[in-house]
Amino acid sequence: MKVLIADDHEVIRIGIRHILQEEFTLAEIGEAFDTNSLIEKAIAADWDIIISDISMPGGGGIEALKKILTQKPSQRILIITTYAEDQYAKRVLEAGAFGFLTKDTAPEKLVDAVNTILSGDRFIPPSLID
Amino acid sequence: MIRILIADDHAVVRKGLRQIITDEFPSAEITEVGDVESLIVQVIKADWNVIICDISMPGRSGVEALEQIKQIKPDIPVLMLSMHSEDQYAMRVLKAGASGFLNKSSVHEELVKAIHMVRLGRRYITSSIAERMAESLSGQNGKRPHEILSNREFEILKMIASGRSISEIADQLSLSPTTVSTYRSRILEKMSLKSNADITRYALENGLI
Repeated sequence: MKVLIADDHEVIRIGIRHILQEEFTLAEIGEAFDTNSLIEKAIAADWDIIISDISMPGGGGIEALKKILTQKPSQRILIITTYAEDQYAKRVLEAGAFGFLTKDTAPEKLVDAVNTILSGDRFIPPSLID
Repeated sequence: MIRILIADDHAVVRKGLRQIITDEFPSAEITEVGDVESLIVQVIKADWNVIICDISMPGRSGVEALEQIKQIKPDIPVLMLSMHSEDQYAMRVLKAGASGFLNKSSVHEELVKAIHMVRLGRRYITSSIAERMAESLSGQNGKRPHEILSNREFEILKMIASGRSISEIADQLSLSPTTVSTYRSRILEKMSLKSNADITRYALENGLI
């Protein structure tokens, strides 16, 4: 499994990497630290899933998401952010993301979201299902 | 063995900090908490060599938590972490008794150095903070208006600038609306501003929100 993690804060990339490695021991993990490096890496290689922050230098995760989906329409992208669900979830899902999580989410929920998306489903926050 | 308490409302950040610390101190005993209340409980009930605390957690602010920790156990070194630039918070938390201030974007390189330093009873000051301190001392860079506010006034300034109403702020800080209005008047007076719109404009121009 190949995963690309994009976040401008290294401590968060390390945290996500660690959570994934505990569950997916054979995962090959790449990292991007801003919008441009995310777009470049997303297009240069094939990734089973991309996990990206919204706020990053150079435009942000939503702009990157749109550019990546133009080139790779079936790319699965999970957005993870510090913003509350009601602020961004609908917007990113409409823009084509496969899932939305906030950074205060428990590690098990991140694993759950990745598993859900890898199985081909979308990971929709419960607050949006109602 | 070193005992470290990590307080951050974001699980992924706690995981990342834990990993960075474990790489350098494999035998460290690390406890994680996700809010200020649990942080204070842990400070009271156990002994810690270092506390690493996020500045923005739900409910009470990290600065308030820091002040409370310093009242309960003044000798425990506290390293404050922030997503915000050093410029905005560093001096404020150092004055409140923090042993160091780290920005989350540089935490990987800085955290381990900071832990070693504060365990020796010293403060960890990054070069950019040291430069700013030197500038303040030499008078080359006078205080900006928001720097003369108290911690509570600064907190309320940020909330007003973010569009919160007086009653919302009163609810969140467990204060009466009259008290919040008094703080607002004091902020306007100290900063020579006239309205909430002025506060928002100032906060945006100075990168406070």
